[in-house]
Amino acid sequence: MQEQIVTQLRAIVGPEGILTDSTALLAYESDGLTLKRQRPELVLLPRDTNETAQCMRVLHEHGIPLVPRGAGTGLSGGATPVPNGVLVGTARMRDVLELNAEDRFARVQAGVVNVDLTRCCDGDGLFYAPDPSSQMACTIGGNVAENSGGPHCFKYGSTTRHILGLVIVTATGEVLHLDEADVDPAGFDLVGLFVGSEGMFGIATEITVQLTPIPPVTETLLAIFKALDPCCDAVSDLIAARLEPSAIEILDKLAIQAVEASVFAAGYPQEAEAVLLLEVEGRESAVEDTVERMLPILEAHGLLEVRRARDAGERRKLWAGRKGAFGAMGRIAPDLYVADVVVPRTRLREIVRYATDVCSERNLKISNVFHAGDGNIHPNISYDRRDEEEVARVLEAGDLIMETCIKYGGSLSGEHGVGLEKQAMMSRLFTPDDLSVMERVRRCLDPDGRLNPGKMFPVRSCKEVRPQLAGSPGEST
Amino acid sequence: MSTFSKEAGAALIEHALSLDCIHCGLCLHTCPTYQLTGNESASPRGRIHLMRAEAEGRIEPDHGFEEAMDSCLLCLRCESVCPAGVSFESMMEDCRDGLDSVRPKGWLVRVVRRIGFGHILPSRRGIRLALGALKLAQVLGLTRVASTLLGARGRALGSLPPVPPRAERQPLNLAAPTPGSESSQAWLMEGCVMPELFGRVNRASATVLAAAGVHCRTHAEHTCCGALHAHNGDLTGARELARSTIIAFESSARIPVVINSAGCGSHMKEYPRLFSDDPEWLERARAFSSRVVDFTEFLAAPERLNPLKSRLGPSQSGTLAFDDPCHLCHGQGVRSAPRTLLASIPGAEVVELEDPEACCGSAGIHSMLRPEDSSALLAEKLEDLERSGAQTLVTANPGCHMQWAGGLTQANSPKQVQHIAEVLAQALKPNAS
Amino acid sequence: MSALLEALAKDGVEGELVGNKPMALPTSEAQVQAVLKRAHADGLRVVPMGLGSKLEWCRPEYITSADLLVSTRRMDKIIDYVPGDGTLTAQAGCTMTQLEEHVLTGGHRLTPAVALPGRSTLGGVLAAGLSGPDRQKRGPVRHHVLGTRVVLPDGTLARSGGRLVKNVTGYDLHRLHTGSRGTLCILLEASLRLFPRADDHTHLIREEAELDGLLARCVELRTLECEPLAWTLENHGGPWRLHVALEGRGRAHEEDVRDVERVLAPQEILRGPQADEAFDALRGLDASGGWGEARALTRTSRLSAILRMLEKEDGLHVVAQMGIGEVRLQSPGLNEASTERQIEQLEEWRQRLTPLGARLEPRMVRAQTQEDLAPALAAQPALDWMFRLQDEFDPKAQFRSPSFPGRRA
Repeated sequence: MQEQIVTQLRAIVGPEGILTDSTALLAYESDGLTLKRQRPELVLLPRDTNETAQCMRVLHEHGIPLVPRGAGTGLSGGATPVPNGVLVGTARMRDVLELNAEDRFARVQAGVVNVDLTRCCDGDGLFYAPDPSSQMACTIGGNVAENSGGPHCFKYGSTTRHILGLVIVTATGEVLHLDEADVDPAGFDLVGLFVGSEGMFGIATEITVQLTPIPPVTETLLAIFKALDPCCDAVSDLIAARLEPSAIEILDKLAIQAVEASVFAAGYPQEAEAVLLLEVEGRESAVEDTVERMLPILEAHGLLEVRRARDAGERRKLWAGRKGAFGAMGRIAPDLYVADVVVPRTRLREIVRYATDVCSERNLKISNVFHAGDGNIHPNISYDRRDEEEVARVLEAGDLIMETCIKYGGSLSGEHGVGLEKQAMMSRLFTPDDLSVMERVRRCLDPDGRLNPGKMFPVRSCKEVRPQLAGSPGEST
Repeated sequence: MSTFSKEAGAALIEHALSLDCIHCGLCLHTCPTYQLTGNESASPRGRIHLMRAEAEGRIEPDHGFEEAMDSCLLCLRCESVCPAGVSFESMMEDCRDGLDSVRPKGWLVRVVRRIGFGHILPSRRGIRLALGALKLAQVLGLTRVASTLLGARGRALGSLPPVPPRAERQPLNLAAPTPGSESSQAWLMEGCVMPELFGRVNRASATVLAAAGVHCRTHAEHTCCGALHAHNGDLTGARELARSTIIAFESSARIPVVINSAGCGSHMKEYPRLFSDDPEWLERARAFSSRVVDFTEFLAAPERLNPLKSRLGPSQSGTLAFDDPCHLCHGQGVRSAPRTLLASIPGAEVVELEDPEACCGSAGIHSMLRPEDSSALLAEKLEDLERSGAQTLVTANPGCHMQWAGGLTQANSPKQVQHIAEVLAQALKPNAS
Repeated sequence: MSALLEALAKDGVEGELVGNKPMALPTSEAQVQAVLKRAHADGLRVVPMGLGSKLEWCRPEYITSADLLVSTRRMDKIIDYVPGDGTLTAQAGCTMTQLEEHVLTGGHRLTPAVALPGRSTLGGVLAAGLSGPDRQKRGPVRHHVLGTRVVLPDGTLARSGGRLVKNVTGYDLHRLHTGSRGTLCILLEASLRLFPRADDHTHLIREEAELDGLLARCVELRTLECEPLAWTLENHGGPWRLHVALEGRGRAHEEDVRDVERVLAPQEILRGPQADEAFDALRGLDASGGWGEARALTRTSRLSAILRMLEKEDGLHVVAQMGIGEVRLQSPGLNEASTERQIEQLEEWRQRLTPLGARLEPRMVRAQTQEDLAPALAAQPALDWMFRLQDEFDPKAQFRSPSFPGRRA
């Protein structure tokens, strides 16, 4: 990077807002997807919309590609730097700008951590519903970019349903205000379009989110099953019975064991083949009613035991175990491949079985911990990246699982995004025309293709459509 | 640019240790230095990533690396939230120890290390001389001069509590009881700086333990456990002090060793880690560590809590807020014991801080080496205390005690800091007998 | 003009003349593509439509300025209803009645509950971004569109999203299509999330001559634990009526009813089929019966002040969704009024509503009125992005909707 550009940028963000040391920059070479790595040229940490806009103008002027980054907890490589690119991080944009309890919304800077948002409003009887498992660390800005999910999205829907407004800094450094908390968009639903655009349309610097009233009663059930297959069937039947718990999660034996060995040990029975974590909310009698109707369905599928938790501390523990599950896999092997496929909820057992078989045929360790109620499964394959042959087997298994999901009418990602991880599979799910229309939309909003280039779209089609697109996907290891 | 003399191929840490980290990032938000800077190389995940890259030979331990490692407070909050159970503390200690052998150090670090770690802390006499000198300097106003000369780094010097008069700086010298039941006995480890700066805390600890029916004894010679050495890249010094500590308390193998300084207790519970390559000492370290118990943890056990409760009268300290020392909650996992104790004081009004497990910025000698960071962390804690409405901030660690006291003094706050032993001692009713 | 229909007939596409306008009635995706490719090649101005009920939002110029109407009404196949997954995929020309009846067989309900379900197609409802009173509980329809298949003005067929309740693969272009009012593409097919039909329904109504008493009850209703299906305050001349529609099951439902009853002190409590009828009547209020409507969009906390202001207006019909922040202003006389009169009325409302924190959105007024008011109403920084998207999707400006979101000058 030219010294003059660095000086220009430093003048905008101050000495604390720019990282140039090559060792420090190495800490940014990947996000939660460690298979792909690329050291950024520079990290910028602006403090507000204005600084971000100024930085973006300088980068635009010099034609420098960039990647927005929140906490870097994403699992699809959405925040992995691109060659010769800059990272623009929101880690120093952590202010809650406005909390309106009466109209149930909050306006926050993009770097506010998901769980802090809920903390800041729980005194008013409100919470922020989308709760990705990384909510302890992930930022609202990152959630917006990836349209993040979480267990409670079963009832409340993914991030996109909870975003009322945005302030966006565009590729050229203009500031776009879409931030009036409004009933309907005045014109196209640009906010809805932006959510889930994986950092390719701009950087959201301020976000207006909808807050949800905390339900009067919440009960968490831990249902213990003899086997994984009937546990999956139980979920399909719960959905078919049109019951409305607020979360339906499954953990299989290996996942249970990893969690129980961790600081998040939740008291899941280690001998169980699968547990179903269910949450029911509402008024007392409604919770009772739903639970009463759920139990026979669970029993019909080989339920061994059910534990009910109403006490906040107990419930927190059960959920902490679920949310720490991904990290806890570090106990099984150094690296983890987390698939994020979705299938119709009638096909749960088939896909889980398929994923398990594909892995065991390839001698891979698979654990399952997933949002069963949404048909969003996470076969987690543990591996060691130093074993190249094993890595190849993991990727093969991952591709086969994704292909089978597509065959079942499913999709590649339920909440993690496409990023670098699944871009090659995009052409299996979408036609060239589907993809070209997406690229055309992108070109409208970032004509030079400088924002998070080389992600989401399959590389080949990418090159055909935009040969001058800056950068290519991160180097593989 | 300084030069580094690292043996080719010799990694600072054992590569395998770094593999436990799966890069999930759950630790980021709880890390005080990441909170301060927003810089991922100043986060636990970033630091581990760099250690791993160094061990893989992808980077050299250059200045950026050093900065990433030195800025860590070793508050261990990351360990409390790490689902993969990464042993961050031991990795960082190994890393700093390794760095120590390959890098030239700044003058302040050299002075602190050579004189402080090498000569003062390990001997009672050294500590007394040093504290005597500090007392003299304080009386003459020299600390203010020095603190001005040193700039930001001198702030810590200026905010040191006044050294108490010599009469209060006496070790307790509690002898072993005449032969009787060992079950009600305990060692009270007085520590290195504690008897000098916080003699009152040790006296209060002994008083409270006595009220709980425990006969305390102290060790006349023993001083430093080596925690500061281990945290600051001197594992050799740490091992030496660990050996002498183990030896000092080895003769009475069944008597618990009660520690009223969370940082020391946390370190001594981890002694076996220092001797992983030395089977004989590993065994002895294990035996010793299993006896180490924090003052609050020890007292909160029913067999001591019940007699203590009968002796407690109304609280004398106003509204209380307990601030978890990092090495108590994250290091030792002790969270409920101090709260149980405070709640046992009749009529005591105890409030919770919003974030009692956040580091106050003391962090061993961090406050001296990185005063700006330390002040920024303390500022947030002071605001938290202000919002809580508590009049007395209760701690269980001398480093935190000094840090809070310094901060409150500087802010001209009427609030006070007390060790939990002091709070309990003040609430004791006069013995009926 | 019939020459165009003849040309289309050669492509196998049927059509008819509506007034003097040719209307293509394709029956398949390929036919829609063929129609649009021809229109694109010839630079024809196209009006996409279903059954045409929402064309009245900006009549009559919208239609008179067009060369070709393209209706998807004959694309009316239900592609896939998966009761076990709670999803529905259907072609754009299906009527809402058709779909509602179909999913009821599996115990599901569809949102939005629009005013004239028999006269509204799925494509039209989504393109218009319509809401019904059930939005109170379900949220806006854009939250429940899981995926779409569309044809762009140049004939490109493209898909976005899927049939899954959770999916983030690719951009959410279906969010862009929903509510784009026929300016970007023609919707061919959409997948929707469905909702369980509850066992028990109750509809409670309180009527008062004065608004204030009802507003006070609304404040208290907001604090209740229950989530009503609908919560509407309306006035169609005469007294104000506050409706609360509840759905649920068994004891919990009874408790909801009891709570609302306590706060509302309703004169009418309707249950079962009667409650369904009352809810249908509530849906029907959204049909203005002609021209002359505007929506005021605001935060719920500002509704009271806005309604108090509107209470003083003579002859105005008002329908307010209390939990959403939407107020419909229907002025029966306005529909036939001249453009000047319409502008005058809307300007007056706008000037009074803006200080109270509401945005005004005209509907069912003359196209000329929409166009003239656009600068005042649509002045927003995001217009540039909208124009760029329009230019990209429809570079020849064939799909004209003068109301929305305007066109780059």
